[in-house]
Amino acid sequence: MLNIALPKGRLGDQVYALFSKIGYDCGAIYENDRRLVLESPENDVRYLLVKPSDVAIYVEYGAADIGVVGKDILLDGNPDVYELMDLGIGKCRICVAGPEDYVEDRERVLRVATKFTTVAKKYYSSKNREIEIIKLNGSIELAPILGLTDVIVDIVESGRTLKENHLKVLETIVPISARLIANRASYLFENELISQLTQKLQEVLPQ
Amino acid sequence: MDAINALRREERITLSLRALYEQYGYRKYRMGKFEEYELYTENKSFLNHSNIITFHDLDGTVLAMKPDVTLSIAKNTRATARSTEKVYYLENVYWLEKQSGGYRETSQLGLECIGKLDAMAYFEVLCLAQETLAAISGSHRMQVSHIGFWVSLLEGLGIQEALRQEVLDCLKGKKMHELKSLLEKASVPPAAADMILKAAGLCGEFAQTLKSARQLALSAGMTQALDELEAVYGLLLQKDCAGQMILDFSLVNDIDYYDGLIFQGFVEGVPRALLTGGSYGKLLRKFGRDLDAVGFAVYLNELDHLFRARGGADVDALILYNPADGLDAVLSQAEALRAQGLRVRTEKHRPEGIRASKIYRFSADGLKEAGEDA
Repeated sequence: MLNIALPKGRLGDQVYALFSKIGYDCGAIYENDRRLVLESPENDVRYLLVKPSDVAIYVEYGAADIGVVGKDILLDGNPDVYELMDLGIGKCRICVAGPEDYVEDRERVLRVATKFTTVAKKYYSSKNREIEIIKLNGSIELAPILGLTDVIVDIVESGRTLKENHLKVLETIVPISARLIANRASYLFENELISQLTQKLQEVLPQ
Repeated sequence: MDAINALRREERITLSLRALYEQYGYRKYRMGKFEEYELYTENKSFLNHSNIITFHDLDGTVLAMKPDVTLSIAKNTRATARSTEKVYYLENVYWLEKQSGGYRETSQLGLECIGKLDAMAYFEVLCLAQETLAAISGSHRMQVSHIGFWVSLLEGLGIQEALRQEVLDCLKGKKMHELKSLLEKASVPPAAADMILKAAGLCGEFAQTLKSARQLALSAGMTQALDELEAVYGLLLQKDCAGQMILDFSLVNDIDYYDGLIFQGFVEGVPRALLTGGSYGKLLRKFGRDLDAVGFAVYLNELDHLFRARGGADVDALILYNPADGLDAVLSQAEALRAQGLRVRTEKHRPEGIRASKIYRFSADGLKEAGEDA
């Protein structure tokens, strides 16, 4: 049986729709209760519904054989897993954004609000720019509005939230999409099941 | 029954592995707890973990709690071109654990073979790695690769060093989609990119994969790497221990230290590699020795995953007695059970937190069963 970690929420729903389309349906998922483990013995799969940022941990530690997770989380946590496929869904990008009238002062240390501390650090150190990171876990857009920081590094999907808060994208750091990841040991011991699944995915995904 | 069976499973495995290595003529290597810090700063990328516990010795030298054993063995080796050194070790090492963000002491078992090595030596180490996994679990797998194949391929295609590192990172995560776009972005000619992608996808049954790899061999270096693999594979077949091995060219390691055969071992139930190894002649050459080296390490702390859940009793028999009934008789009853190889504990009262397979109550009439825990 293949244990699949899915992120709870919109991305998880999209991924489940994709998986059920290729034969990994699980009736129990429609019952809409609060169960976190849903099993489909006839399709040989068990879905684990976990917080999106925890998917990679479940997979790295072998509680799930495979999982689907946003590239943003992989970049920030750098888990020791195989990243087998780009599923091309949940597309967005990690950007630097700031007030609409923002002009950078290169003489000062740049203050950055973000939850992606590793990505931000790596990006600015590659540009040799000294920064001060203020880690926030949500409503990051507030930081520059209140003068807490100069800019933010965050996920941008449509850009609507930024616009409504009078912010704009200054730079794109990296494009993001959902990735299929696998535990290293499971990849060996459940190779047949995992290969079957990736092959079926390849058939339905646009190249 | 042997008294050794009273030990925990991990301890028994460790002992049987030591016996195995001794059988192949490996000698136990014992070292100090500390090592000069400089050794690690000079060879940072050889280590998996860059955080090291350091302190000052009385004369001001900076010392470190060992994060690794191989570096110390390689630095101090007595091997020469004509005299091979074969050693194994069981040592505690100290490194930072990512999740908890604190230092951890873990036990590491491993072996090293240093000298002018041939296929026989590489085979022997690979075979010992395989037998190590087999001693731990019936369900195990080994991935084998050759770093020389990649170095030669990337050099032959003129891939620059910075890009080379990114290619290796993609291989490590089997990120074929990222590798493809990386090569496109770096304007690698399509024919060369195609070759790298094909090589990255080489994974599967040993003989078949070796055959496919031959079709990609465009330089003497690549052919030599494949010849080395084939020679080792021939010997593995002869000993009938190639069955659990797959050849997977996506397995790579630091090319500044490793130069030949590399491998990783897994057992079912442990989410990470339990054993990693490879040939690290380049490290020896950094120490000014023109020698080859190959070895592996087993991360014994990972066995926790395997044996933790199994539980079981702490003792086979718990004898509860009243001193008034005569200690001599209690002793002889306990000794009789121990002679059967059982783990026997004698107590006046039931101890807390101890699970016994069988609980006996001793009285003037002798030993009577009074229940069981597990």
